[in-house]
Amino acid sequence: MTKAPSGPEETVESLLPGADPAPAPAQPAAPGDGVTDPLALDAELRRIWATGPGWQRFAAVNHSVVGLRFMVTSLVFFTIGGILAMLIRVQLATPDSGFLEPGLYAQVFTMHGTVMMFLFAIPLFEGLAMYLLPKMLGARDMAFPRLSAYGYWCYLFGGTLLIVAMLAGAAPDSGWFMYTPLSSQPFSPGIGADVWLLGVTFVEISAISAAVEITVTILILRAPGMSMDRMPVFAWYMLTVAAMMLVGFPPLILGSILLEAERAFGLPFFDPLRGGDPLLWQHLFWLFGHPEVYIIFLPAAGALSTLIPVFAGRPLAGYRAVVAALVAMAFLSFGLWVHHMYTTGLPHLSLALFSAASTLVAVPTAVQIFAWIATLAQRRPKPDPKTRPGISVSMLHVFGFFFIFVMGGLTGVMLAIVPFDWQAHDTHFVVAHLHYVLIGGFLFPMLAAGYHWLPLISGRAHDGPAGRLGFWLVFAGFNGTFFLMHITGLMGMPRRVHAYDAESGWHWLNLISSVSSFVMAIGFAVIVIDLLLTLRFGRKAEPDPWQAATLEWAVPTLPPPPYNFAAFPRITGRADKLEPRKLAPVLARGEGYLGLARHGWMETPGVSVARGEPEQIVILPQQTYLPLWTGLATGAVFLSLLFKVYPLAIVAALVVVALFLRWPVGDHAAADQGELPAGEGAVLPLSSEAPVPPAIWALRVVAVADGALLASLVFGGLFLAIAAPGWPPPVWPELPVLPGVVAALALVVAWITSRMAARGDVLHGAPMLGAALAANLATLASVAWMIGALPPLQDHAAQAVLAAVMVWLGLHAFIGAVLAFNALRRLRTGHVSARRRIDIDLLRLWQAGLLPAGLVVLGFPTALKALALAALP
Amino acid sequence: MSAGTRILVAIAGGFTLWALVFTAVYAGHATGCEIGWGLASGPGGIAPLRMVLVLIPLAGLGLTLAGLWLLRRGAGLAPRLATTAQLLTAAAAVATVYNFTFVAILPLCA
Amino acid sequence: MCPALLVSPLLLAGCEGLVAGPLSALDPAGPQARAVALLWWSMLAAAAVLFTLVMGLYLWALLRPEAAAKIPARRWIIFGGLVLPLPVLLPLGVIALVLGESILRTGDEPFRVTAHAQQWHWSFGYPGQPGAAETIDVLHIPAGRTVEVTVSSADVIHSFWVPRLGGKIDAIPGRETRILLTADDPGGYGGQCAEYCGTGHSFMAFEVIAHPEEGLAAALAGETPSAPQEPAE
Repeated sequence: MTKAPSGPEETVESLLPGADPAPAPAQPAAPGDGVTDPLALDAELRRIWATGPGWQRFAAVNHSVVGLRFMVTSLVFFTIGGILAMLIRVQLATPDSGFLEPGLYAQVFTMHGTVMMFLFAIPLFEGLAMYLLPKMLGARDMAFPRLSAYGYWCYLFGGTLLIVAMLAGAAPDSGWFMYTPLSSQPFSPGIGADVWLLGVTFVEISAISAAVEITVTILILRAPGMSMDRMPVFAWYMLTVAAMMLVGFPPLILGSILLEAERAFGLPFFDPLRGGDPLLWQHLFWLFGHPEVYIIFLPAAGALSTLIPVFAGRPLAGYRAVVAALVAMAFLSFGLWVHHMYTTGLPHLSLALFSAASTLVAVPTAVQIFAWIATLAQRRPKPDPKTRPGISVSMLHVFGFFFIFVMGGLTGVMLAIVPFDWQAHDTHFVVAHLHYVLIGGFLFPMLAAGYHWLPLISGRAHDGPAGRLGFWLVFAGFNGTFFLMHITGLMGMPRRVHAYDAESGWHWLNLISSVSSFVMAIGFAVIVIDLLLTLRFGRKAEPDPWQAATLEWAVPTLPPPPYNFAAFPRITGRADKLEPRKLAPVLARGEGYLGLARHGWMETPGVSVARGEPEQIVILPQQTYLPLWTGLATGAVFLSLLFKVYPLAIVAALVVVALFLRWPVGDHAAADQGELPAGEGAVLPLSSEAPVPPAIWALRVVAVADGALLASLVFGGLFLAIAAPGWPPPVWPELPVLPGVVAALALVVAWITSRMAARGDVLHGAPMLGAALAANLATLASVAWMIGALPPLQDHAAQAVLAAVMVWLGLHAFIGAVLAFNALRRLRTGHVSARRRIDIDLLRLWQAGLLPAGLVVLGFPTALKALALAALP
Repeated sequence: MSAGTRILVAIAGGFTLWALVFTAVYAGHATGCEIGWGLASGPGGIAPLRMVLVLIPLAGLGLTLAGLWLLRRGAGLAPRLATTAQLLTAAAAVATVYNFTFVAILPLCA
Repeated sequence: MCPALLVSPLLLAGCEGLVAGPLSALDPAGPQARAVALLWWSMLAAAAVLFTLVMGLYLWALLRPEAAAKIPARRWIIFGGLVLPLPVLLPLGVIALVLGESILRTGDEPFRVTAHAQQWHWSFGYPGQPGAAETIDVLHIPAGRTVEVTVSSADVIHSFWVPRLGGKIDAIPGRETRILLTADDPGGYGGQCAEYCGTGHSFMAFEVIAHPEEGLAAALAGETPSAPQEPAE
């Protein structure tokens, strides 16, 4: 082991005694297979980490491959959404246009919004995060590569389902926010609404998987020494975004499930004649939908916070204020949703609550904007003259962002003002505003990011004027399309009309918008051609071309090898003040942590959350077709639901469970490995033997999303009881007491036995695991009994809601039983030992969470009844 | 409390309180109006619902300020995280005042 | 755009002609709509100032960093992030609440009508007017008097909107919502469904006819109005 060149204080520092967490007795740095020659190490790591050729591409799990697939696929969907937008603009270019008939026009605008939101924006930033995060943080992959791949397949299949339905003329047509009752069975009898509900939920699975693994990756897969306060700011952004997705997406998933249950089985959650309420849908949708806007903006802002400092040659100004601002924004964004519902007749006091939060969110936005301006103001010339290109194409797009997003932010404050929104709501003013915010706040930053990281991703340098031409065309076309649309809206043009009178005075405004939109489309085409030409003919990029200061540029080659880093540095200062040009050769020589290849294992360091001290060696899974099969089986579930072949859906769901149980853990987990040398004198356990392995983190994170789902359901039920017409129902749906008591006792038993199974020498835990399995099955049976005792669910929302919470409990008891079964099985096959106890710990954690949640569910019927009877008639 | 949990609580605590107050005020207002607390007149002619809606933010504000006091010396966090946590908690206190002052003024249930 | 509005929101006389139209919220014909239009012009003027300021500072920092660097980062963030927005947001929030209250409430006894939406037409009822028949897609109101419209729906969600007289309110099945409108002068005012409600949405328009005191009863009795209605100016 040789010393790293000791650069300025902020760079790697390999062997400072005292800086090392475990000053263990000197260990050979690279034992195992004993590969020490850098070229041989590179070859061996490539062999281990590479994605195979040909059909094996379907088995890819590598984050660079899957991240790029997400990005490329999202761009294909962007093209589709863009073509739909062009159809809208052609239709609206002239008064009384007959280009599209109203039914088709409704499909077009519904699909335009749906595609851009769910199939373009979210997957694009997920792909970028997946691609960049391990490289920025110092890891060889995301925490759950197979989950990335599974998420990708769910996204691809769900998105394809929507597009195929559209081509078959069966696209959803109630608008992208699918307001009930227009989207309910009587008013949308076809399959279109089901396609939306099931297709979007399918895609949401991918978003939740991405959120789980982004969270766990940022929390524990970082280079040693990278404590939380040293993380590059992009990691803070993505951690915040992932947390928002975990809380923000469940309300939409719940809403979609409830609406599909209403459409398919007549459960009247949204039907005002039977105790439902159309406003429940609006609450659930916008409780997702408004945070969603910030979920889309924040990754783009994270990219800006990363690339503006690179241009300025200075670290981000006000790192602490920016982190505080983005966390504040994340919270505030959950207090805005009713500003989409100002015209629904809610009391003024309720509206004022949301209006205040909506205007307040301008403050953290302004903090970030001025932190970026301050960073630019502190700019200094780079030492290397080659990296002083004046205003780069990337910075042009940053200019586009500033110009457009600031304007969108200002109109956002206007719309937050209740009386103004009463006029502007549901008009083209809102259409203009949302495009200013989303295109300004997402698309332009993403284009800036694309040009910034193009050399990293492709290994090619970008030259030539086409990028600038493309920018100016998009910029001019965008403003031409959407600026005057503010006026069009205030002059009375509602959203989603397919035709208008010549007398309205809107025709010249619409004509300018339509012509400009074609300028914008040409601009996008120029950018795409520019990027394709760069990929094909661009000159080779030099390493770290922008003289950046983050770890992703310290990879050995551009584009990076599949293993990212041959070794990991010890980070001793802010991770956005590194010197990649000095760091890259050191790491490429294998000097640092885990600079070795042994047993064909895919190793990456796992660190403690707060201080970033190395705690475990995470062994990541090899490439496998299982994510593909599981994705296909999941697709089969959704298709069976779509075509209402319910027995097949149950069979397919069981296949999904069986496939998940087969996701293998590598051979390393079949026997105790003990503590292994990890380089730099550290001796660490494998994750399979660590006290808190990534899988436990994942379950904790999933619990957040699951809790948000249950909370949405419980609040939804209580909302109906006080707000919906037709409550209380003529006959209150009483539940039998006995199964409720049995279920409660069984939850307690499962909790106790799972704890006992996890105690001490787990090898004798089989009886306890058996008891936990039985207790979960008892809960399941009691729940089935209770649901069976309810009056017909179609008659009133009261019993439908009670059934829904009971189904939640039954499903969770079933998963508890599956986890207990899995632990028993793994105990028998020798995969569980006193050191390797993940399978039992997962069950223990599950039951510990299920007990309080289950008691909430069992107490819910009483609360619902009390509230329903207390409400004034 | 593990170091990770400590960071989470310090950073997210203030605004979590804001979110809880927000939920409680919104849900409490809707429920209170439905069950008639907004009409009845309590001590001093003030509707009981009004008192509840004013007390909830005050309690939240008190807890947030207490949190800010606990954070005054950094609460054992890394300095940069400590400043971030202080900024966030102070911002949450301001947001609580900004967001809920008018529940004392606006008509309740119309 | 009209340059006068950048100088003062009160110099609007020249601008309103440009943005007039049968459904234009910027061509108000009653106090509720006029208050919101004034709010819009004021917010537009403030937004134009703020936009120019932020973009000016951004371009200054981008193009003249030697000069801009003299301002420390902390000051940029405190002034830009807190001192700039809060003094704008606070008064705006107060104005919004006061204005909202004034639009939602009326001191006088309003003239009451009902609006019932159905795919894709509106039927209007006159509960306080014995003998007045239901009218379809035409709403008769008195001029110069506040009108309370109680809105309901038979099927999906619609939204009742007469831009020149006031804001909009959703027609939600299972609920009744209400809105106050006033037309200062007799005349016809366009109305339109604002919430997407199916394929007939674009043509779910209606007309509000404000009558002088004496003409209303005749109109409600189904008689032809004595004189053809002039559109309000």
